[in-house]
Amino acid sequence: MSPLLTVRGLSRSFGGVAAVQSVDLEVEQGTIRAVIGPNGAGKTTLLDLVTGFTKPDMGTVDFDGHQLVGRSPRDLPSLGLMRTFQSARLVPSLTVRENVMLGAYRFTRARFLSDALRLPRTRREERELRSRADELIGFLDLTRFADSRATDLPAGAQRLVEVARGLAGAPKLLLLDEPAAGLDDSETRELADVLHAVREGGVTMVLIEHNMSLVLAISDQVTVMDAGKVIADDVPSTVREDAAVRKAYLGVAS
Amino acid sequence: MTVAQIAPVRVSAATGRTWLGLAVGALAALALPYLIPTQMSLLVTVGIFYLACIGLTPLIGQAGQVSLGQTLFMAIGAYGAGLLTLKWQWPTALAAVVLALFCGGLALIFGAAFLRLRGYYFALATLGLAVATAALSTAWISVTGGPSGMVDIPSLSLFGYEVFSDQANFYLLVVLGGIAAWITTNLRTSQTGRALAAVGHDSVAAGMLGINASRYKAVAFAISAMTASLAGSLYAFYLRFFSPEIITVTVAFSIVIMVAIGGSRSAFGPLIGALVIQGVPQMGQTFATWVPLFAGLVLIVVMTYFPGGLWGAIGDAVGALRRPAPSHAKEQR
Repeated sequence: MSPLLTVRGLSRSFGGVAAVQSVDLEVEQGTIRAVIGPNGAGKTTLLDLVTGFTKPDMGTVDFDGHQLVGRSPRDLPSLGLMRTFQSARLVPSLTVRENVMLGAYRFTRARFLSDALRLPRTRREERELRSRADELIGFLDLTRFADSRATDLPAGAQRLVEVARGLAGAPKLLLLDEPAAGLDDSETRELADVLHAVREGGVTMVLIEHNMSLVLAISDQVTVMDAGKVIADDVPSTVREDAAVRKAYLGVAS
Repeated sequence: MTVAQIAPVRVSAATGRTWLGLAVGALAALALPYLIPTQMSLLVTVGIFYLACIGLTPLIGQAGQVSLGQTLFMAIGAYGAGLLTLKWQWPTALAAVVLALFCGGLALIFGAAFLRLRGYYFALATLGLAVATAALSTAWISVTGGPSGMVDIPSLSLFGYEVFSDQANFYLLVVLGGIAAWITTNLRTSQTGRALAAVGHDSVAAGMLGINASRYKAVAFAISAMTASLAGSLYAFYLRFFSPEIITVTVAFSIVIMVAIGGSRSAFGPLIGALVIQGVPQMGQTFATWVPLFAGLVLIVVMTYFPGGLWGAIGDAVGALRRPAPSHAKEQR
């Protein structure tokens, strides 16, 4: 079975500095792939290249039989790809529930006229969106926040709301940009459990992460980046022992 | 911030209470002409500006874009209604509806061009529309009648009934304003409203959810144009006259100020805004001269202390009174 996501020779430089340099990456269906590396290693740029926020200078991104390079980020949800951001980008005027409902935007068929006149189609979809959102909010243990304004929540909880919003789009692949940043140890363990359960549900994930304990706990494969290049790509236990990785990234920790 | 301190946002009121509120509002509207018969022309004007304002709320309150172009669409609605009915003998109601749809289409075209602009440039581009409107309405004499205005515009005729008196115009505006309020409230509380809010806050993040930002903004702009055109047509049918004084650049600003003062995230906000801005000049001829200054000062105070508008401030105050003490918040959920 071919990988869900195949990145080949992806490169991008900004003003002569190679942010990402011919990166290859394969993500198998139903696995969690972590991408780690020091600040400035090009992790977020890689994510931006995959999702079309930044155009690559070279390379291809194949997702589930679709070539993503050159596509608008707007097309990705309907292909089955959702992402979260490093700092949560929730809508401040909406509640947590409403933000999560928005995650299912790609399933909404009712449009302006139906919504303006609150036709039966809109009412039915609102009910479905709402119960789906409440399910996900419960799954991420956010029920007590459901009616709060999303941006009133602590940063860690906001990131979980983004995960719920991403899942509301029922993605095949969920790209998570540092979901554990700002979470304390117990919250990180909770997140690890959640991501495990999400994977059990058949969702493939690519995880950009600083938090090594989370990476080692949940990922199937780890890609280590440094200065825009992939310097290691293996299972977590091997990556942990890799000398180059220890030098580039784990140096302080070992 | 602890969990207990994060209070839930006011959830939508119980349906029973909503219907009670609507019934009380409808009775009040029916009774008003008998309670304050001397103020009918003020009430009609408030109703007309309410229409121009309420259509702006999805654009300003959700999509986060300010349009100063309402006077352009009011002018098209008003002069267009005059021309279509006087020169081509169109039925008045048909003219109003066709012009509103035309303005919606026109706004989609302008929107496609303007809404690519980022930040405040959309507001500036629509200010250009307001300036052009004021200039054209004065200078294009063959069409608009120039500074002396367009005269002999017929009253609105609806199902064979001539909407002529202040009272009839007022009741019609209550119905149309109610429908517009219902529609904009529906939009705000649906996926369309949520998508608009996402677009207004962060169009890049909205894009990642699959939302086409420029399309949503353009549609919100078109909604504002349609109600403005309708307001313009009704104004012309009511006054049976229209002139450039009614659609100056100052008026373009005061419409936005009405929305800002009242609040753009509810159907009631613009009602308060229109009442304040239209009602104050009635307090005396000398006072009327000072209205722009008054409007400006009120705007500064409201925007500084109540960014959600007066209606938003009332909502917050009621919420604060109802909200249980933080220590009990956990049981509340």
